[in-house]
Amino acid sequence: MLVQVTRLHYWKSEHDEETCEDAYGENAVDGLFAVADGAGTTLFAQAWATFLVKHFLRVPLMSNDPFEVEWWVRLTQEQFKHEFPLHKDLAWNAQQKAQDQGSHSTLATLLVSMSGTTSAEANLLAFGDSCIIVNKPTAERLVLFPVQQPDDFEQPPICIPSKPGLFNRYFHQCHLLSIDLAASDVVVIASDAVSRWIMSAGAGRHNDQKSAFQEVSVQTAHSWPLFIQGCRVRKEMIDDDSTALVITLLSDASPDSMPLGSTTEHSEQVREKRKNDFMQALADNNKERVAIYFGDGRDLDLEGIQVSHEQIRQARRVADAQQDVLTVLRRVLNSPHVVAIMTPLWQKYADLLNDEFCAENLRRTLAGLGVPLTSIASSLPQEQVVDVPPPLDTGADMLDTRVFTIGVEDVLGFVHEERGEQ
Amino acid sequence: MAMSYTRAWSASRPGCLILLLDRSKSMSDPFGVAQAGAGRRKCDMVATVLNGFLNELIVTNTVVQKDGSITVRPRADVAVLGYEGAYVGPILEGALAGKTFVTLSELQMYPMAIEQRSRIEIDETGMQFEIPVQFPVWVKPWAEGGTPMCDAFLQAHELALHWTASHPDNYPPVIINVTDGMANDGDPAEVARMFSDNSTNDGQALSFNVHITDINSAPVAYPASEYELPNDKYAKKLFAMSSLIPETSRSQLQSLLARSVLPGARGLIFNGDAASVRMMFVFASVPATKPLDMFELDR
Repeated sequence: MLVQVTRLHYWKSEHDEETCEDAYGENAVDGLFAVADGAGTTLFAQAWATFLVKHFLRVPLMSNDPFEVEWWVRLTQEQFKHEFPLHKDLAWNAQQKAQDQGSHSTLATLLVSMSGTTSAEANLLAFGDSCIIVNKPTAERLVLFPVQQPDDFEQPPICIPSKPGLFNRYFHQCHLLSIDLAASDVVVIASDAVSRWIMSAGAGRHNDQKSAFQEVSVQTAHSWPLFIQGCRVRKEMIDDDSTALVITLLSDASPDSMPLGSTTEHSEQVREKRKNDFMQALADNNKERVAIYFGDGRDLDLEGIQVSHEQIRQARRVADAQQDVLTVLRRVLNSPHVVAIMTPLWQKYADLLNDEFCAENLRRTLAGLGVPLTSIASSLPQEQVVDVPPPLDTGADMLDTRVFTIGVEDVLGFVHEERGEQ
Repeated sequence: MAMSYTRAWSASRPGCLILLLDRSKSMSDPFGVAQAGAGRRKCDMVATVLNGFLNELIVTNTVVQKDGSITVRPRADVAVLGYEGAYVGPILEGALAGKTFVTLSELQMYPMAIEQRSRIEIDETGMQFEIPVQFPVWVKPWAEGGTPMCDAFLQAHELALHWTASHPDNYPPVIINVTDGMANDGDPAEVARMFSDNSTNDGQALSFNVHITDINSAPVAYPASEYELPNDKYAKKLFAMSSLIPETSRSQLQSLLARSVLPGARGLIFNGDAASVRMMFVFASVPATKPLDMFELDR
């Protein structure tokens, strides 16, 4: 199969090419394509979006297994931190914002797992509202992924955070769609403004989504700015960075076409490193790391590592318990109610985490705060076991990248700091 | 006039936030042992919470400009007034001393001092670690003399009067009065009403009050009726001085409190602690912390 790729890139009116927060990239030979949209409410979003795309092309995310995603995100975060250290000469407010929130970005990817002469198989993976839209000439409708309706763009998108502590493997869900592709299919990977425009049939100017899609897919890099400006003038499209990769699948060569390859596994180097990390985690009996380095298991399987399902299930149970406790602890660390909140939560998981090596630091921190660690569940009649309180809120501070609510729970952060000073 | 309270605080239509701090002698008493801020002097805690709040307001509105530079969206004009026996007026220190309204950019550029503090965070393994943070300070704690609250409201009224005249289409001014006692220069209800009579096309000025105490009792927050308050003349006075929570803000408040807030609730916290002060600051400034890209359409 051959492929022709058109890169369409334009920016919102307050941006220019340099400051546009969308990023895109492709490696047709390996069948990898990606678009990311940095959240402008965070600092250095452009750098993070660009890094995510580049990282995907180097080390593709291959499934949406939560632990596989976490392995991939942690790797990306580590390398980003290494390549983009925070400058010490930033103004205090910028430094604080970057330190507190990191940078955030959506990501939409297409990974071709098989490329034949006239057909291909691909996995679409997406975080947030950057979309992959497929037009099959014979189908009545477009394939829309992951957002399905124009109104859904009103919701703040789930973005991948660059700050390690902010990622939650169950909230920052990666959506997956496996799809068969054929010659003449056209795939558009686009940031939200363009995706929304297509889904709304060009805000009603077109009869249907397919017609709007076609108008996008025939654009060239040269015509794209005028097209976007026209949409904005007609109020069909919001003033936002507007990026689309138009990928046309072909069976016959055309002037700009190139061979479409595929990726079915990570490189040997990546797998080798992962195997070593996994073996180290096993040697340390660190179940949380075991679960994360294992991920979806494919890399280790290729490296000949056999692990029982039960071992991985238990490792995941421990990792999930640890994540639950950590998520709440981070939120209430400076609260006067930290002991009251953490005690029942710890009790819920005490049997699972009390003897785990990976929870050693967590236990030390909780003990230091005054949270009793001994499991009381077994010594209490069932009805006396305290329930874990409901989540403090929807976790918006950590997860919702557009709203930076100043949480009531942080209220004593400053008290704590001042106490520390005295 | 329609009371819509729908204008967002934006760079072209900033909000107006007037913070009134009681700095009377009683503010040097410590909070109760069961309260947020336990054992710390009320004036210390209020200053800390205020400095922290201004800090967060600035950080939230920090954005990258077209040329790649970092700036602060001027989405609020902020005045910080204090009142105590010998003085009623602006209490920002350093280069901003004596100024009434300042922008967020001015606050960012001219803190009185930037203290080096550390903040504790938790890594992925649950280990605590300290990161150095810069903590800017604009207001110092102070506690002396009586409680000239009427005079303070009068000054706030005059500020609001001028501000609304020059910003007729903006979200109306919001005042947050933090006090631990009774006014001793008259009946503040009357001047509070004068303040609230100031209006823009978007609604009447809003008067919110936080009463802090060293009594170890649960605060009464956002009551919809006098009967929710202790049977106390002063509580009723503050209730009367506090504006109704605009319907457009009620759902935000409910999210902050994680509980329902009745229609007709007032912007009042009685028997509050340090957390109450911050809660009110945060709530009142919600229009300035809403998503930047949704409300910066005027850029």
